[in-house]
Amino acid sequence: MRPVANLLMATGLLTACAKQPTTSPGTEASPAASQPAWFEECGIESGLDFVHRSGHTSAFVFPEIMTTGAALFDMDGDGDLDAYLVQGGNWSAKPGTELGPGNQLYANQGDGTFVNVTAGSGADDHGYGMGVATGDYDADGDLDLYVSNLRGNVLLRNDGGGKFTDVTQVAGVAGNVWSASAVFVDYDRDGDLDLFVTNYIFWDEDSELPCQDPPRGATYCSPKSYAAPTPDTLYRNQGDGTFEDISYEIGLRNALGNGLGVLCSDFDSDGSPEIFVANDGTPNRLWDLAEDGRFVEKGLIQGCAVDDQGQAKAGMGVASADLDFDGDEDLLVVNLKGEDDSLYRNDRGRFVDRTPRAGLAHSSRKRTRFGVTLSDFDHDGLYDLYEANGHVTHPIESLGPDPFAEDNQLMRGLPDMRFEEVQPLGGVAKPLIATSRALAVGDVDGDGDLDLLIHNKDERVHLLRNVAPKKGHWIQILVKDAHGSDAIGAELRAQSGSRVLHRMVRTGESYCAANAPAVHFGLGAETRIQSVQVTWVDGSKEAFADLDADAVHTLRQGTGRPVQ
Amino acid sequence: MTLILLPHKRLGFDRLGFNTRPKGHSSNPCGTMPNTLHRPSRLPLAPWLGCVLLAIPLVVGCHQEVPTVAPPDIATLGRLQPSIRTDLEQATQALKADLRNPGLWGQLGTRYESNGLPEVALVCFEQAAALDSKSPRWPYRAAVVAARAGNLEAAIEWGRASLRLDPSYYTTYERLGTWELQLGNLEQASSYFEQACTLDPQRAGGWAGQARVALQTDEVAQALQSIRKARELDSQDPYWKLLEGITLARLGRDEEAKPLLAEGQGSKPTLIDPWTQSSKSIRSQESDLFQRGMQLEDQNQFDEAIAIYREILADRPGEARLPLRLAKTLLKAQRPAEAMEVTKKALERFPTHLELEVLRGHLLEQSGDPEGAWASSQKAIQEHPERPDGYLFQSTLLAKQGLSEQAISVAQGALRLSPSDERSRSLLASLYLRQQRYAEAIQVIEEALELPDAVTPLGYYQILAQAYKATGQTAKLSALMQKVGVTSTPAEPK
Repeated sequence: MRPVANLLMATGLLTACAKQPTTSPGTEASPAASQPAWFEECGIESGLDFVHRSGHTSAFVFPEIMTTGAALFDMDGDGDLDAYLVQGGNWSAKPGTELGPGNQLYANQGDGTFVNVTAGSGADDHGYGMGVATGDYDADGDLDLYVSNLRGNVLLRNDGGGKFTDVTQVAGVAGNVWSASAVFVDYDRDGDLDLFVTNYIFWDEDSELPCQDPPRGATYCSPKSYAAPTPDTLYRNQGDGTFEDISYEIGLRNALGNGLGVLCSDFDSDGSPEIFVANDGTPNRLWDLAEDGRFVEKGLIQGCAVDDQGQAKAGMGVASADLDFDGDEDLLVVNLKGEDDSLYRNDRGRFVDRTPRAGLAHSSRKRTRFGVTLSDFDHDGLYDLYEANGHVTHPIESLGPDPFAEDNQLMRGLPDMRFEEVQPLGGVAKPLIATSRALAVGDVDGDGDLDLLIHNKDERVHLLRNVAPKKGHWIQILVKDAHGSDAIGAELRAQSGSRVLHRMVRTGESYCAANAPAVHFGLGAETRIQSVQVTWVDGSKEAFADLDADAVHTLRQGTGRPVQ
Repeated sequence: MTLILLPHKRLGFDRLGFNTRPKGHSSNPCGTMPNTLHRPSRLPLAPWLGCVLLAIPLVVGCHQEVPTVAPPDIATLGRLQPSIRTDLEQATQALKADLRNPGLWGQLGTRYESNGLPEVALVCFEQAAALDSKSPRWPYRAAVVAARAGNLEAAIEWGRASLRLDPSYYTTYERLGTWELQLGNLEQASSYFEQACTLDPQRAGGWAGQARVALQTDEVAQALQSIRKARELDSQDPYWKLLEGITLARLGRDEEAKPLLAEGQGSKPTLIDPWTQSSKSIRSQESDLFQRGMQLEDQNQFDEAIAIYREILADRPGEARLPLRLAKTLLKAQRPAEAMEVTKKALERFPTHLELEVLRGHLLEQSGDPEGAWASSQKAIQEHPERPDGYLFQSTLLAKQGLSEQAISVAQGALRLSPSDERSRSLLASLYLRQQRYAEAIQVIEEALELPDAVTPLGYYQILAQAYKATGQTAKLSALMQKVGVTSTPAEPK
């Protein structure tokens, strides 16, 4: 055998000597062309002809790279999802001066196609836009809009029929700082929606810095360049159409940050929601209401302020879902290229960074992530992950004419809180290369699955219609309070087979975006929900029985069976 | 030339069974030549001769030269900063003089790495490794830049190759463990961290790595044990306190966790890595001039710092922080007239810059123009009502005029805007002290100690100490002095 072994060895050596090995950096597996797409991009065909303008000319001015937002909401009560898209424009223009076309409102025609109804709607705010939040602050049964801007935010009251009125000054919610994401939340459980606004940074034109990013040179600054973190703002709804800024009294000013993402959930199941703020380069914040009525900041002690190495990351978008089906919502924060996502498993209000074990540590570092959602796109009963990406500094290699453009990423949910990347890349047949920012989720075409509206910097929006091969059933639940408004802050626990599906009713999530308020569950093989328990914002509980899958159900407060 | 032993996924070197000999042995796989070559002559000739015949082309092949390759073409790299382009061109020229010098390839790789081009650096380190197959540093450097470029699989292969050449470099195990952890390969990560601990149990990194892996599998008690081991080995580094605090919090032991989290907050992990020290030192030598100016300032070399700021300002007139820094340094150098000139000129260009306006106010006040100073404070407040700076300045003006109540009221407004701002707290507490309102001074500072992110400046303790002494709270005073390690009692407040 020895001569044979020697011959084999010799052959191997010859082969080895023949060629200088090299590593091909960044080599990734080619997309499997035979894998079916999960989404089809149909923005233009659907009538969403919005194109964002950041106002960029030659200099790299900070606000340009952080804008802007999108919302999916039923503005006119006709049962389908309309779209609101936030515009940038001319960042140097002073408030009150006319700018470009302003924000745009699109009405869904019932089939997932849209028509621009901005003219005469009153919704065309012309501020240099950042984000948008939706919520029925005046409890009249329709969703209002709060638009965050570089200077001076705007509250647009929904008057019905596609008409809005700017009530900012009356309401007292303008603010005076560069704001980012916002959410409506009934933090004090008094029956009306209060307003929490994340503020990004103290910035004005005169403080703008020219930043360099070797080796490319001039580029956008990061918030660390300015070292000017800000406190966030909480406006308490006074029940009469006005709000009071209680940020100082409630303790919000005790901690600063560069707030970009915000999300509310009752993470510790104590009956009141906590407010989680993703901060860019500073520790995340978890605000918990104490018995004395003030917020206590608990991010570090609860384990969601920093990563497992104790480092703060560039927190942008944020998403939440009960990934391990243990009855509490887990938390995902997306970050900058070179930093992995932060996937925090919630263990009764204590968080542990599970990013490496989830399979996200390496795959997520390759891109800069902004918009994000944890949704079950293929109805297999497991939450999938979609991330909308775009650089903030010059990359070494550009994927197209826009040097900041990147492709998006779709990860299929696996058991045990793990994810694997879906091919084709981003779930679309041809990768979408854009500088993506806001991502809003909802069933735009009414076919029961979740579609995506993606806002891109200096580019048209992308509407991704869900065409994923389905692996099970679905259910959508509209949760309405006593006023007929979407019961933002209510919690659902649905028995589906042997599992309990848990979700909070919310619109505020992702980055600078507002999702459709309907609660969507993928059910896998289950064909019904045996029972649903709703914990309303006022603390009362009702049970609703037997909901069929593959349908949209509406649960109204007062129509269920009271639960002790 | 010796055969190069390098990892490559596609060729599957490992599968060819080329394992590096233990340290001290030749890594030349030709050394793994059939040992029939070395057998005594009593063996049968025919198979022996056959192996030799087979071996000759192998030996020849093994000693084929590594192809001479050209350095990376800078022209293909797209837009580069001029200084970086020049730097790379110089290093490339040096290499062109001797393309078979692995050291020069390594230097070029280091330049690319330092200038933020890890993918190109990788090409250079690969070639260095090809030309010098015995040094473990080239595959190690290739591993590090491959990781920076986002290719962890390649980084791990290169790291393993380096280990085969030198299994004694501790940091390789740390890095491999981290990369495996990032890939979610917990078992492999754990193995590398364990090997690090076995190699040198007196270094903290391996223990910290084991803790990270344990946390992924909910073995929190074990994680705590490992972190405490790390902390014992390196008790001065606040980073281990941070990690211990995080782990204790995970166990719900909040009261034990809180002080550790406070002490460790903001600290970062450090990696002792002499093999990459050269790239770091290059970066520090070429650091921004502005940083250099700040260093000179710290050393009280104000004239030299001023010269540097003026030079930068001439090149970069569009950056407000430069005239601000220059003016402040001129003031430190006791050249207030020049400071005022710079500030005024800067405000013409940046009319609403808050810090410049406040600085102008200070300069006006110092020059005996209290009305001008007051006007500056008003302008700062009007233009930036959400920032405490204008209020703080106005409060100091009022205090200097003996209007203590108004000064306190304005300082309270500043504190309300930014409760975590040390300047606001210190000013308000000092104003209370001066008015002998000790209880209020104590309350202002004690509140600060309860804030999130509470980093307690020494000034807070000094104020507290004075107030405790004045109010006869000797027990609290003793406890405070013990906490900050002070032996003498503070003077009475004036």
